[in-house]
Amino acid sequence: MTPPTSHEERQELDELQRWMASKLRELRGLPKDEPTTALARRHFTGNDRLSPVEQLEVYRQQFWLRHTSALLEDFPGLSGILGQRDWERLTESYLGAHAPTSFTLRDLGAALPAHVASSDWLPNRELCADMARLEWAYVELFDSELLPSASPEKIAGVPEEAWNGARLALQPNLQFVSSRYPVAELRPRCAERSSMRSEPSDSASRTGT
Amino acid sequence: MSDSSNQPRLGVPDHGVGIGLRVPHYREILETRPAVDFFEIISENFMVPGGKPRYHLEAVLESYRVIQHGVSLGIGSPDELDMDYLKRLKQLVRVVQPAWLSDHFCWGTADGVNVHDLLPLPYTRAAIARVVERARMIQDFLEVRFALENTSSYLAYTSSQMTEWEFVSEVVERADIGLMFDVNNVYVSAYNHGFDPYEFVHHVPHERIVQIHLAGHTNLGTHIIDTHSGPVIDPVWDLYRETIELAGSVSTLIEWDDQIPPLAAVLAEAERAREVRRIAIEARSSRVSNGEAAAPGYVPHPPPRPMDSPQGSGGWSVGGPREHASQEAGSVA
Repeated sequence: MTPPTSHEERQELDELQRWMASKLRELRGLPKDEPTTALARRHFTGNDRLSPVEQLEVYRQQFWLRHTSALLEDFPGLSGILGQRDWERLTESYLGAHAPTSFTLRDLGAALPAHVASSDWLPNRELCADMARLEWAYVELFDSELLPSASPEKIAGVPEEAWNGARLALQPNLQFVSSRYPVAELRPRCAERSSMRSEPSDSASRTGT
Repeated sequence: MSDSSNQPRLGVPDHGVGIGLRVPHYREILETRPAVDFFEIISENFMVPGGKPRYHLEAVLESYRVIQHGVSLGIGSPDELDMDYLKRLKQLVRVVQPAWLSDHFCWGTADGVNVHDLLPLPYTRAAIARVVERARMIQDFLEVRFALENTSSYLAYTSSQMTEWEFVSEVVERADIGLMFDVNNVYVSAYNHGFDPYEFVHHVPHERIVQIHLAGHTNLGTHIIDTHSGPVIDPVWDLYRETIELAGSVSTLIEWDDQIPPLAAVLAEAERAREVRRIAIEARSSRVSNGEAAAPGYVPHPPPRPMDSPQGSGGWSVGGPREHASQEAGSVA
């Protein structure tokens, strides 16, 4: 059984973890950064195959791979409109501005529609903004609460006198998405274009070296 | 001498051999109701108000035992535990009513940012103190047997004061929780850090192992990534057999989360686990009936060696894929 810990030991643990978390979110590869390499040498052992900073770099690459992959899953239409280069630029700027804070990756893209709308450099920005809002509505719809629906048979079975007090209501998860472009129709083709591109890991490897 | 390995451990039963409940298999599972001892869900995918995830979960619960495995607790994080997360987790526990619930020895949140990873902890007194205190609280709060899983790791800390198995053992003993023992993770970390995986397997408290995980991985040569992709490799099957001989009959789960194959392939892997488990339990019983110690003694093995031909590109998921509409082609609702 280990002896009790001191305040300093707990503080050192916190500082190390906070430093690591900040490094994982860096866009560029860590091995080229001298101060990071020096600190990594202090904190990590490395081995005969990976240096200390390369061990940390494994986790940094996975941070970007995991989060860009999640955004690609949720916004395939937007990704298809943009093409690989602009999609990567968008996701990198988005994750830089909106660090993930939710316990679930499901919430990762919540602010992407607004981010798209405010990204002046985006080609076809209005189309992109329309698509992003539609795709986020799909994410919200997927796991939102549904009330039992009224089937034609059930409606036909309601006695005539009961209709006086009957009330039909829309499902609470129904959203009205207004758009300037027919994005619902465009989405399957855009998503197909997105899936034909290279794997999303390109983003991580590109920023990793 | 009697073998008490079939008794409930820490009050939880042996559920047999199960598989992870994954979206591409929903339709086939609900239409054909295959013989599976239990399913494991990723808790976070079902901590939602409703929709398709909850529809499918409720349908599966009608016919199968389900247990919960989490990936977002980050028990060793510098940030305080997220009580909103725990309350939502408890709501799901009330629906699923699992015999136990697990997460990982790891951290993942700092200054409010969740990096969605199972980052390894340094094996220090400070980390032990933090994890023990929180694990006790979580087990009390959730009112279900709680277990922590040894993770795969790709870095090692200079500040560590003990081995991983010493760290894991002290936490589960002091917190009085279960050990979710991931045999593949033992192999992955042994490869990445150059230790003997059998030493790990032999030096954890076997009576606290409430479940075992088995999975494939991706070997990149310089290191192995725990991708849960592909079948379990033979050295991991060997470690599994040794674990069962040491621990007795423990619920075992096949995890397959990346490049998920047809359901039949996952069920075949579960069948192999059932067979290896049977052989190991028989070997254990045979020793007992011969008046020997039930568990085999520790025989040192060399660390796993780097492969000549690395495979794959190293993409990885954290303990399971997300529930997602785009994966729904095979679903029924």
